[in-house]
Amino acid sequence: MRTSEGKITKKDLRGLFLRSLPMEASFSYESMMSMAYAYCMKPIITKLYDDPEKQKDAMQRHIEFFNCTSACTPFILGASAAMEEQNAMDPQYDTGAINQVKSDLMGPLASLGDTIFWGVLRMAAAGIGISLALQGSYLGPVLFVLLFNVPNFLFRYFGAVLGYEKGPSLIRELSQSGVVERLTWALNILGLVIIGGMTAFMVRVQTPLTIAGVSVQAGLDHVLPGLAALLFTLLLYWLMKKNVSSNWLIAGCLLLGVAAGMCGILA
Amino acid sequence: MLIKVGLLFLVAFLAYMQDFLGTTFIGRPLVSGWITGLVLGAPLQGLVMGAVLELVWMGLMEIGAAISLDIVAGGILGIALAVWADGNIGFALLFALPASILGGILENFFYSKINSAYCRRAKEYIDRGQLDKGARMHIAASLFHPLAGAAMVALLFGMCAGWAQNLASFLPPTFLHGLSVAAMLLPAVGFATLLGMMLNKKTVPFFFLGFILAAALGLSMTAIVMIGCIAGGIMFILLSEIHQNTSGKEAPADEDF
Repeated sequence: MRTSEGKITKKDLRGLFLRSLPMEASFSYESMMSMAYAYCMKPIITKLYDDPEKQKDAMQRHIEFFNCTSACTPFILGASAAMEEQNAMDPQYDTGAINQVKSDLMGPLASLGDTIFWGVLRMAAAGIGISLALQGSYLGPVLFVLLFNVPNFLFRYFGAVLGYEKGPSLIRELSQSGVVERLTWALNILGLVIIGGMTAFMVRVQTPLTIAGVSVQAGLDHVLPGLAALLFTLLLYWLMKKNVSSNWLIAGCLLLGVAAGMCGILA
Repeated sequence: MLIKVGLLFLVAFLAYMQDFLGTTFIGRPLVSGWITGLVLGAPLQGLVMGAVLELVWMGLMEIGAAISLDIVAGGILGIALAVWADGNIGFALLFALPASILGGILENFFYSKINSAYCRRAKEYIDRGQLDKGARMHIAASLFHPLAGAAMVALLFGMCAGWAQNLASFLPPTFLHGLSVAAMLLPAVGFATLLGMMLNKKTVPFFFLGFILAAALGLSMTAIVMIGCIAGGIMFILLSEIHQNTSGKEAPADEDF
């Protein structure tokens, strides 16, 4: 028998959003975000099901392996909430579908989410923040936190709502329309523009050397400021494409930097 | 001194809580730098060092296969010891690397042993019907790592501070200068890695666009980011048009906003 409170409300979704914040905080290699997922689903489960056995079953469903970009998890949580709600109402409901949908959504949302949050958004916010901080402005860290987290929190909250209302059907629509590929392409473009700008600002390859009284650096800057930094970065990119491991590149930069700095070749 | 160690514990704890609060990145050197500097009386120095370490970290994402680097410990300890020893950014780099390795070992221990133990315990509680206790294991585990990490950072600072000062006066200034040069070369590794992931024949021009906007036109990063969004937006619209034309659908007559 369902209680009169069987339907999930906006308040429940808000609770889902809040409880999803520590999603990454108890990460383990074994089952990754499983504890976090169960923690988020618990109030929904206790609301939807009266029978302790059913509650236990549901919790066991949601403490299984789970991994996704943290900001994308509220969407999946919303979808799970909607499915659990249907499961509670309909005794014929295919319970196995609930975890199936979780598995189906985890992969694509993680790759899109990583591109957006760990990739482009972080680079944009960090790029702006770093450039300000290097000039001594405290606005740097402030803007970094704001530029990243306003989208972060909005995505999470509306993700929960959208996941509950539209859920897995939305993902199917999107993947059929090819929007995700075009979006990824556009995001890569944004990311590259940012990296291009950062290469100019934040890689420092400058020489104090002079040849016959003429400053080498001034000559290089006359052609194109930051040219040496660009060439150096492209050199590293080329080496990386030749499968030189990044460990060697890091060690190389350290050695080169210290040696060239001490000899006065670089400043 | 004890007060400074205590304050650093608080700063490190808050920094490690970045994931508890929603993966907010407040523990990264760009943010923790000036706070760490503030505790030790030099917020501006901390601010700049934090920005440089944040850049360097773009290249240090994966050192070695086994242990990931702990950017929170690296940032706070590196900057704290560098500010304390009156050193420059090269000094911060010198300490940030080993500090992040130690933090990474601790983090690895949590991810492989401690948190999985909490998870197993949670499953046991749930199997016995104690759903509340089971769910709360997540919170317990989430608070444990920040506490342990913060304690490690504070303790290491307390133990190494004096030694760091001696080291600073012992190292030749040219060596430290060389380290600061290296610190500004390292971001290129990070950028090269990112290029490796994002650069292909269809996106090449945009990297150079970003570079030219900064180098030849001298635009700020904010402007460059906005132009990047515009470029991405234009391409998205174009691609959508192509998609509609090739799939034979009718485009809407007038795309009102």
